[in-house]
Amino acid sequence: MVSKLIKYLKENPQLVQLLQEDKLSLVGVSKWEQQAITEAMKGPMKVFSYSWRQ
Amino acid sequence: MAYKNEIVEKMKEIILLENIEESFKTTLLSYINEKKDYSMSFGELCVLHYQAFLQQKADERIIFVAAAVELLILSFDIIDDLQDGDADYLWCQDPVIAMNAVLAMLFLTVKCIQESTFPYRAQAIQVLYNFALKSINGQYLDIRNYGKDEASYLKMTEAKSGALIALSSSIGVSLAIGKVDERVTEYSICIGVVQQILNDIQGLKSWEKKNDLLNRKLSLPIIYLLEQPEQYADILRNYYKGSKKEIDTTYFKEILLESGAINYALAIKNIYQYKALHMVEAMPFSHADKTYLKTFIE
Repeated sequence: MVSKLIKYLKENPQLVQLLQEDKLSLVGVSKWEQQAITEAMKGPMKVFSYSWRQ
Repeated sequence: MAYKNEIVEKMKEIILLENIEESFKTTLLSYINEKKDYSMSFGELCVLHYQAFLQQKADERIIFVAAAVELLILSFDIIDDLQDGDADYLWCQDPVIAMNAVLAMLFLTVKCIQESTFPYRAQAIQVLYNFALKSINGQYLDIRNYGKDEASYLKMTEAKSGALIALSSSIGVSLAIGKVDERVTEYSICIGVVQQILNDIQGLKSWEKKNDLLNRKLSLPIIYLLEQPEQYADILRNYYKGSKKEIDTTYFKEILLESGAINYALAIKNIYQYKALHMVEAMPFSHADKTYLKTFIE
């Protein structure tokens, strides 16, 4: 379930922006899960990608 | 609250007080020394929960038990390194001696708790047996690469890593009140899963000896890749089956980043993290204890 949502958000990055701005809700997931997924799509990736590309 | 140095000193004391060969003591002390710069989180969690449930400051006795818990964790770490064969620690140089050291550490852990003066020491030993066996079972599932999908991987990780955090916290709880607290068990398991997923992600950053993908081991980002209907999933499946001998690491570095595999692992980690934070917040602990406990989660 989470993996499918991540895949979909990766293919539709404009939705991530809407989620981050609270203008969109994911159906079938709790508020926590939505927050967890949204967070995973932003900040930490920048931190990881920096060292990943070394 | 940080008892790291006291815990390390007590670990050494446990070895020095034992009636064993001097050269064996030297070996055991050198193993402790090898990890002395690491956090003593397991021991700290034991102390924290003892204090929080007893509402009393830590004394020397609980630091001694925390040191015993850290000896148990060290013994499990050594076994894990010997089984994986991907580490360069001192114990990897002489596995025969290392296995003997592990046996000594396991029995010393139980002995320390048994010979303590805590009224609920028998209950604490029972907690140790239950969670240690759960973790050993999780380790078996990991070696067998049982975690082939999200549900089975998380079940294995909750057992293997979660049970060791639950063991540490619950020994503290049981020494204080004579029984386990299910809320502590539940959030401790979540902490273990969070730490394991972070380790898994960290392990994929380096493309040397310890990389799970190169070693054909499964973790959440790899499970994600294998589930995709893309060409890279076919390449990966063939590599994991052994029909492909080598893998293009530059290509897969990019795939891990661009496919969403790392985002996926982070999302699952966040779900466990939020659950643990929420549960800790609801505990009847002091603000200082909660704040300190949250440092193990965030």
